[in-house]
Amino acid sequence: VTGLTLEKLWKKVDFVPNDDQKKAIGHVAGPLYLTAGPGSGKTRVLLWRTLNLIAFHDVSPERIFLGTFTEKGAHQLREGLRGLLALATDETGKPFDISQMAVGTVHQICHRLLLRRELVDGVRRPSVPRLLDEFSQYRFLTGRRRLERLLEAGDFGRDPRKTITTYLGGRPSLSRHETVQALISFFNRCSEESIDPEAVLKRTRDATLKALLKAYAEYLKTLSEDTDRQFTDLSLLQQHAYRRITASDRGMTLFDHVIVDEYQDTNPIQEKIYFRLAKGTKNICVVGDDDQALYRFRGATVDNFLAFPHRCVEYLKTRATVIPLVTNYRSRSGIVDFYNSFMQEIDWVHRGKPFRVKKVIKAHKRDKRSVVALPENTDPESAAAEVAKFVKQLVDQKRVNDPNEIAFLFPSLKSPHVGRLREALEKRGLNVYAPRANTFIDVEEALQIFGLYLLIFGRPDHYHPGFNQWMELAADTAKTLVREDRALARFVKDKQDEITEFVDAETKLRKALTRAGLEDDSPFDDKAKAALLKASVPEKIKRFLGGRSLAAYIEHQRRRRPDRPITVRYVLNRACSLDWGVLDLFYHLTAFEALKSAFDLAEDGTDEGPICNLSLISDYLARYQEETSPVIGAQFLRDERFIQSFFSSYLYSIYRLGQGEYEDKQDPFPKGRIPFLTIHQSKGLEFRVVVLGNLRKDFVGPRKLDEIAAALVGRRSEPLELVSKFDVMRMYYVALSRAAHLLVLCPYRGRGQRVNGEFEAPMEKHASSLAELDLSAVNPKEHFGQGEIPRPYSFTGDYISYSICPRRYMLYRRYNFAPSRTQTTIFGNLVHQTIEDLHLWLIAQRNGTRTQEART
Amino acid sequence: MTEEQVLQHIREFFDANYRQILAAGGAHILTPRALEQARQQVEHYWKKMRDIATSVTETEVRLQLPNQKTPKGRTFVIEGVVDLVREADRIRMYDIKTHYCGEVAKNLESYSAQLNVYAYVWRELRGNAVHEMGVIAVQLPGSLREAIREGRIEDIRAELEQWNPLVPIPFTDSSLDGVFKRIAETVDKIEDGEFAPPAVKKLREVAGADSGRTGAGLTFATLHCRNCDGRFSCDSYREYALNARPRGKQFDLRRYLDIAVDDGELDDWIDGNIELDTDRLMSDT
Repeated sequence: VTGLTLEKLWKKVDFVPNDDQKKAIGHVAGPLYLTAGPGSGKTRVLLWRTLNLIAFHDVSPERIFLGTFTEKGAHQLREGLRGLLALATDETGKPFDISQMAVGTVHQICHRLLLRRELVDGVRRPSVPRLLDEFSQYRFLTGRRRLERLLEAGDFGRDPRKTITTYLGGRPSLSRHETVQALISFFNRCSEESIDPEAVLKRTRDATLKALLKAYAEYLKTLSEDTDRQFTDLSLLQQHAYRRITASDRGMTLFDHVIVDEYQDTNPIQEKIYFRLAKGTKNICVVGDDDQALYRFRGATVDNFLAFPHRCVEYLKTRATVIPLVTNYRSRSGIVDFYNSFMQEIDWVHRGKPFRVKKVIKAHKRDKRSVVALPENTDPESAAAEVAKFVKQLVDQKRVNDPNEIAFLFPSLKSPHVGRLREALEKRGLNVYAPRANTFIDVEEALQIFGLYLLIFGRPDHYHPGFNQWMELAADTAKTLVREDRALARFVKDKQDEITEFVDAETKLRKALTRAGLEDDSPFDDKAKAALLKASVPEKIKRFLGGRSLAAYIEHQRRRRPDRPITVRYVLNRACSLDWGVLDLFYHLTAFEALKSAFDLAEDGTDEGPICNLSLISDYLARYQEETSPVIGAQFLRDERFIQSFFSSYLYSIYRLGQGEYEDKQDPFPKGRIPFLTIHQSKGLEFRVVVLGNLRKDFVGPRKLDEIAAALVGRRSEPLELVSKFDVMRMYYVALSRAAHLLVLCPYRGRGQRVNGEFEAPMEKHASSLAELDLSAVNPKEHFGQGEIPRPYSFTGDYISYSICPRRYMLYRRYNFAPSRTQTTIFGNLVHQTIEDLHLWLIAQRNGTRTQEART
Repeated sequence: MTEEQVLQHIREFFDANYRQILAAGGAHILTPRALEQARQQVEHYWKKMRDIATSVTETEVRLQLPNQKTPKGRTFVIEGVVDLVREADRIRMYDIKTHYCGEVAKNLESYSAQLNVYAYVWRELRGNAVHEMGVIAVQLPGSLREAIREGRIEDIRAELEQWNPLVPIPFTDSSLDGVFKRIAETVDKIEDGEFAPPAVKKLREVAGADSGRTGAGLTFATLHCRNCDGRFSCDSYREYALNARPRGKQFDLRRYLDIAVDDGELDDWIDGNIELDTDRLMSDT
């Protein structure tokens, strides 16, 4: 681009990069290793570097792989890059199109790689297995038949469930839930380590491990044995992608640049993918902070980050340029001093090997004010009250622009300190937002809807006392609704009657058939019809049996599949099917005041909490229909089959997994509320004020899965006995480094209380008491953070759709309700995809002809 | 390549895509009638629009124009998807829709705004102008579908002859500022959370043309509300369906539900989705 320089663009946005940042942005060839500290502008550097490649080095966006780990991070990369490129466009008038660029989470990009036609034959739309997310993977394995099959394949001996749960580090349990959870963690770890179960069987003499590996092999088989319905899970998806890019040399030349953010969270299979993609050009750039490695439970290991320079030599035969980014632009210097000294508290070297990139973070500006504070009270109750009083003061004095600039962070939201602090804040009239503190199934809307389902369909017996209690509570909630709303009471009664009527009718029809000597598989002919019409069943069913629509359908089938005439079983089931499914019922219920009010509140923007919960309910109901069937037949309703399937199995899964509430990935924190988050959730975020609500997290021994992986893969890794200690330190480091202006720590003392020892010395040296604090350090005028990111709006999907009906738009686009009939969407996709295939095929035909002509 | 070979390929693509959609979406399957209609649309796209189909050079191109500003100062990106024919010195742009051409003609203004915006975005992004554009509305007219269903060969030929799925879209002389302004205002409304439904008056207005033989007008409610799950909790639809104030004392919710539930395609939906293997449903418990 003529006339335009990077410096000019920097000036435009007041970005004054330091020397290291400049070097990193200007580096355009060969491997690059950026070791970054918190708040060092690492993502910003990646984005400017990508802009540099596109705008000044003529690299087309399609030739760049820009990946990260979380969806939030991916959103920032995509939209941040769009924003920077728009800056350049403003200057030159030349726009850039990144719609085809591989930018997103590793999983998203893997999925897109699998769809790329050039990795197959250039023409065909490659088939992609159906992706099971965490919940579906659990449901997939928790089915009795599948689980039994895996256990048999493993040949675990007398008590398979007990053996598995004990072996994988839990307490011995006979519960199916805990067995499935343990198996999933083992399977996923195997997939992330690319373990081939058959190949490693020989490496162990441990009988239980052998059995687990056999069960894993069986799991892989069950995923792919049905050629029409192939499955994969989040961990295996990456293996599919890896196999696809290694199948031909094309995989090495798809991209000119491979750029990965948050590289400390990379697992072994992801590492293989990155190096394979970069093999052609050797342009691989990774950025990360080993101190913020938090995703070990997903198979990620910080070793991959620490070993990056070695791997470049090993795989690419090239040395990586190393640039440290250690200037912190986020936090006041007192906060930086605090976490620097916190990390010095333990020894990161073991037997001469360092397990931390050596670094000291430097605050961009020195500042003498004290910005780390502790409440004077140390018993939890009074400390909570003191902190709440202080927070109220910050809000009242307008030290923050909105309460959502103050975050409360915890290692886990299940600790009693969470409730205590929350209560203390609420007592002072401050609202809290805790997206994962509640389980979804306990929210008011879930109790109402599922309670009404219990009244309508009946309640099964269940062996789990907690779940029984939940059902009782839900049913009581619904009974209250029914008492208060006569129309709803009548509706529930109508539905109950309808169900009884259909089940009765089915029994009568079945008897009539037996009397006529007919079986389920007999063809539905005049004799069968006459027999059925003799039964005394409701008029509605008789009309159907003798009606035109059935005759037309039979005729239609006869023409299509003359070899398979309609059977008696089909007609019976069809005649006694409810004409609504669980998702229809949900929408019907929204007509009643108690649930309708959620929509009314959202329509004018008063409160979006209730509608978000309803949307999630619709999603779970749609998933249930996918698992079973959208139509409920009388055979499914009889003998408690349906209620066993819907309540005892499906809702019980949601209950046991403790599925969380609705989360909006783009807009995480509602205004006016103080976020309560786990430290994991806070990763990548920054807050003006951080309150760390619990300074205790115990170290535990080596984890079984790490031991197994080390034994089977035999790779160098962190010393198993130190892993937990390192992890706890890193977790707290993430929490401490989220704070921009003020950090409040809550050390609780006294009976049953403990503080992790590594906090003591830094607190002694750097912290002052809340009461003595100079509040001028918390300055609402001072800007920090990324600012709002522009969103894409589609002409048809957003503009036209909103113009037709804002309310329908709200339902499907804003809150993602599951539509009860997906006909229109599927129809459109099917037609468009097929026409796209036709076009591509015609293009390939023409090119082929042209090449042939050129040859002759 | 013979005609039959091409059609054979189309069928293969179609079946593979449907299998993939089924595998991805579980049990949400199309009714037999809808499936047949989708197949017809694709096959007839080829039969009627062969000249365009064989000359398309880029398909399903996603266009994104960044750096748009709303009146309230938000920044956003405009997106759209088109098919393109690039010849030596000319560019043609098409948007394929599963709509009926009569309906496109009836709402020409809206379609025209859309394609003119896309052409503008294309010029902005790629620096060259579009020379011709059109909407290809692949839904078959009702009379043609009927002729096919009843196998009346002569009528099919005549109907096919008469049907033109391509609706050419003229370039507007006026500036697009008005359209861009409306888009930007819409973005503000969405971000501000304004989601009230249209007034009942709009629901009663004629909003589209029936693809059937009569070509009669369809009300907004028939066209848009009947497939919307929001109708059960929607004040405007209540007033439309019962001709009564939705919150008045006489409001009969039971009658309302009867009206609202009937979506006209219920039997088809059950036929398409019925699960015969009750044992499969039970494998989870």
